[in-house]
Formats: sequence, structure tokens, C-alpha cells
Amino acid sequence: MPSTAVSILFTANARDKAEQHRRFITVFYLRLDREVRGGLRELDAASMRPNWKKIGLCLLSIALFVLSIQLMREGANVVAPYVESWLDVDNAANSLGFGWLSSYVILSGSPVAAVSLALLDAGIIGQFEALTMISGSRLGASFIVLFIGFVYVLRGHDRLTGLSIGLLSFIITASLHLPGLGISYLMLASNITDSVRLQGGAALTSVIDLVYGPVIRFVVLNTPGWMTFVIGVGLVFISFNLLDRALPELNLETTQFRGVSRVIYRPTVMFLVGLIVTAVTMSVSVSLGILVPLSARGYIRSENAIPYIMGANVSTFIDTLLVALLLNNPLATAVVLVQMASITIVSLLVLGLVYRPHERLVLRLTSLIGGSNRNLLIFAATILVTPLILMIL
Amino acid sequence: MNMLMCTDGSRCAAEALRLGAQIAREACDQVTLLGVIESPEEEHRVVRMLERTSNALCEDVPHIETLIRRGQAAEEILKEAEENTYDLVVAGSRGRRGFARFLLGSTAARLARYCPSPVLIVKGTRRRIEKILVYTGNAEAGERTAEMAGRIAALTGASVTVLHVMSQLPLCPEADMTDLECSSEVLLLSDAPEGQHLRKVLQILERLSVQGEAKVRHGLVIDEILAEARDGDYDLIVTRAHVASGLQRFMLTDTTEQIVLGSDRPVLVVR
Repeated sequence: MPSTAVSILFTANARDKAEQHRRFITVFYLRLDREVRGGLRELDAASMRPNWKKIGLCLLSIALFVLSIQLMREGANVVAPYVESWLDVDNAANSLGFGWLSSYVILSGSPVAAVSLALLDAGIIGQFEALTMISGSRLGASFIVLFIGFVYVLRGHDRLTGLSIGLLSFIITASLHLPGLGISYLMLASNITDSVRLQGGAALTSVIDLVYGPVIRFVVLNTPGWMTFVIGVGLVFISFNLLDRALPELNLETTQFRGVSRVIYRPTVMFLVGLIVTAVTMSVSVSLGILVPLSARGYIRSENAIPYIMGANVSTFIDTLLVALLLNNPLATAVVLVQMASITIVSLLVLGLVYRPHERLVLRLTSLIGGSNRNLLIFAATILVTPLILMIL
Repeated sequence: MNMLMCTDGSRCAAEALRLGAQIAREACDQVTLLGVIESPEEEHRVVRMLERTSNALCEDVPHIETLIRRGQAAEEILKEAEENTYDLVVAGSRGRRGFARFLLGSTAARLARYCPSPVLIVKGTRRRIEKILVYTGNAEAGERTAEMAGRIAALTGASVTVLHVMSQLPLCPEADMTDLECSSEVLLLSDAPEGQHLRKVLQILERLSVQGEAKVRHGLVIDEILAEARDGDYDLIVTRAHVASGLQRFMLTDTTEQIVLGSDRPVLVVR
């Protein structure tokens, strides 16, 4: 770009400063305009066309998501006795274990978080239990990246290659959620959320009743109550899967972040990027996946990955918040808001006060666990046994 | 070489003058001694320090000029460096930490960020420069950093170690681990951008007839640079200035500032 601009500057040197400035600005904007218009012309016309298949998948996933929440809500009252007698989820510890373990079983955290709110809505579990169950679902969800890594290791990939990002993700999630639980508990116990009770509203409820009423009534009348709940859980799982497929393939390669493996970004910048990208994609694994094309060789600097995952942990609750709003239950909304607030508080405290020690600790743990098969085995056993122990507490 | 040596009368400034004098004797045909007086009671000490340094250098340096400025040290040094062209600016660091640094800022950090010339920020009590650690950040601009380090090494007879830090983690199982885990020897033989850069830097040092070697460490960049400086007991760290503009200035971490603030030994920041 500067070739034209610079030559004008040289010829203008002899003139007065105002004229020089005016001409420089004129050339700059003419040049900029040409670059932008040229760039737009070069854009692939196909990339500008809407992808109807993805739009359709997205709309279908949203429709199924809303339906699944309503079905879970209808069926939750019937499954209450089963949950109470079989699963014995009656305190915060075993609901933490239940959420954690359930996420392992279905390899996804969001449906478990949705179920916890449906159970809260039906009065089967209390706010504290719902809170810990959601935290458990996040821990379980972060294990999934690790689980995929395990599969790769079993298929002969290098241990560190397969497990690094999964271990990092799990350790960071645990380091934020465990202290976050304490803050959430204090916030709920102090009734701080009483003044902020966000609800879906009567208008939303009536629209949902109008659209989904016939389908819900049909399912409720033709299936046993527990089956309604199970269908709801199944549909929420399917809707999240469809949403993952419907997400646009974000291309960040042309942004400031193209050199994510080469340069070191400020922790707050990467924290905000992780937060925003995860809020848009509603999935930590998708937002982590977006980092891959940013780095030509599939690497990311540890300095950049840690705050990014921290940010992702805050906005990963967006879909759970949607569930709470769809349930139109202020208690459920309060639980999700408290959880988001507490993770934000812990993240900001870490970023502001102990960022470097936290960064070192997370990386030391990652290399310690991934350093040998024995350590990895102990770690895997611990994260499998811990939720089981919590469940029997 | 035209050098600006600065003092505010403090003990760390005295150390800076001592180390600066060592370089000046070998390489300078002109030295400007700048005394910055922040409060009237420091005036006597600053003037005495300037006189002593001038006397010590007068046999080896043909042109010595002495200047006095009044005001805040970092601002006055920057003004002088902007008004005149210097090949090297030498200043001491008081090493403020914690709340004091938060409140008063760091003179060293301001000089590292804004000084238009290469700036040597002296910390600790180094009498000689025998071992130099260079961190180029695997960037093209780093070649100038290596050249500056080579020139200092050629003058002082020091050996140079070029450090590259791998802090990357594999994002996906398809990532090639050979680059991330390899030693400096393997990296130098490879076609990886890091290997090409290290080869270029070593060629620069060879051209200046300086004994140089490459070293690779794995871990967090700042931690590893500071750890290498301590472990290898280097007398000087040479790094490039953090040059970022616009949005990048806001987005990128200033690694140079962190090296300057975290180091317990002299740091040369090359622009």
C-alpha cells in the first residue's frame, strides 16, 4: 500500500504542511477504498451465499431444544420418586457426583445441566443440588476432550499430543469450578439473587404453549410419564449435537489472532476471546477446535491457551441459562446466574492477582500427569472414582 | 559509537556508569554523561558522580560531554535520547517492586518501551560482560538484536548464547511433535522456521567473529528466559524492544518489559 502514499509525501515535501497533510489523507483513503473494493470483488461468491442446510439444522436444533425442555418438564414429576429412591440425589455432594458421572456416560455436559434444571423445576432437587450438578456436568464435559485424547493415545498417537489440551482443559475447569462452588453457595445462601430474578416471561410461555402444546400433549397422553422425561433427555442430547453441526465454520485466520502460536497475547485479551467465541458457539470443545486452524502447525502457546479456556468456562453456561429461561423458573435462572457470576469472579481474581502462579501450577500439573503412564493411570482412576465416591456420600 | 550514560545519583546508577564505562572504553569516541536531578538534595551527589565518571573515562574516550537535567529520571532521559541520536543509552534500575512499582511506575520499563535508541538497563553488580544471553523471539527484527549482542560481545570478548523458548502445546493429535520436543542441535538441522532463524542468527555472530551457540528451552517464555539467565549466570540479557502499534499494542503481551522487570542482571533492549 505505501508505494503511492510515500511518493506523494516526497513530492509534497516542498509545499506547506496543510497541503501535504490533505493530499496524504486523500491518497490514503483512495488507496484504502480501492483495496477494500478489490478485496470484496475477490471474495468467493459461493462463500457469500447462505448455507441453507446449516440454517435448517440450526432451526431444527433450536426447535428440538425447546421441545426437549418442555418434555423434561412434563416428565420430571413422574420420575421424581425414581430419582429419589434409585439415585439418592439428596445432597450437594452426590448431585455433584451425579452430574459429573452422567456427563461421562453421555459424553456431553450441556444435556446434564439441562436435566438438573428440569429436576429443580419439578422440585426433586434443591438449588444447591442443581448448582453442584451443573458444576459436575462441566467437570464431566471437560473430561470429554481428555477422553478423545485417550482414544488417540490408544490408537498409537504420542501421549503428550493426544492429551495436552484435554488435561489443560480439565485442570483449568477444576481450578475455577471448585473455588467457584464456594462463592456460588455463599451467594445463594445470602439470597443475593432475590432482587435479580430473570424469567422467560408470560409471552414466551404462551408462544411455546401455542406451538408445542399439541406435540407435548400427544407425547404425554401416549407414553408413560417416565418415558416423556427420557424422550426429553434424548431430544436435548440430539439438539446439542445438531447445533454443533449447524455452527458456521468460523474462519479467524485473517484476524489479529492468526499468529496465535507465534506471539503471546495479553491474558485478558485471550480470556475475552475465549468468552466470546464460546458464547457464540455454545460449546467449549467447538471453541477449542476453532483454535486449530489459527495455528498452521496445530500448536498453541500455553500463555494463550490458559486464559482462553478460562474465558470459555464463563460463557459455557449460556445454553444452561437458555434452559432456565425456557423453564420460566426464577430459581433455575438464579442458579445459572450465580454460577456464571462465581466463575467470573474466580477468573477475574486469578487474572488480576495470581495469574502467573496459576499458570505455572496448571502447566506443572499437566506435564506431571501426562509425563508417565503411571501418573496418567492414577489420574484417570481418580477422576473416575471421585464422582462415584461423591455419589455415595 | 556515541553513548549516553545516565545517573540520578543512586547506587544502581553508579553500577550502570561502571558497566557503561567498560563498554565506552572499548568502543566509544563520544560519551554524553547525563545527570538527572529529581530533588535539590541529590544535586551534590549527581555532580560528584558525573565528575568521577568523566575523570575515569577521559584517557580512553576522546569526547566527553556532561549534561544536567532536572525532573523525573525516565522522562528526562527519554527527552535527551529523543533530542539527540545515540547508539546506546545506559541507565540503572532501582528495582522497585510491588506497591511502589504500581504507584511510581518503573523507570526501566518506561525506557525499555519508549527509548528510541538501544538501551542498556543495569541491574545488580556486574563488573564485566563475559557471557551474553540473546532472546530474539524468533522474529526477523531479532536479527538486529543478535547483531547488537554480537557487537557488544566482540568488544568485550564475551560468548553469546542464543535462546529459543518453545511454550507451545499441541492443540490436536495431528500436530507434529518433532518441532516442539527437539533439541537445539536437531532444530538447527531442521527446516522449521525456528531452525532457520537460529541458523541465521548464528551466521550473524560468526560474521562478527563471536563465539555463539544456540539453546532451546521448553516452558513459559518469560520464566524460561529468566531461568536460563540465572542457571547460566549470564552477565547480560539482550532482547528486542516490544514494537507494536494500534490494536496490537493493546492485544500483545510486552515480553520485553517483563524480562526487564523480572531480571536480576543487566538487560540490553534493542530497537
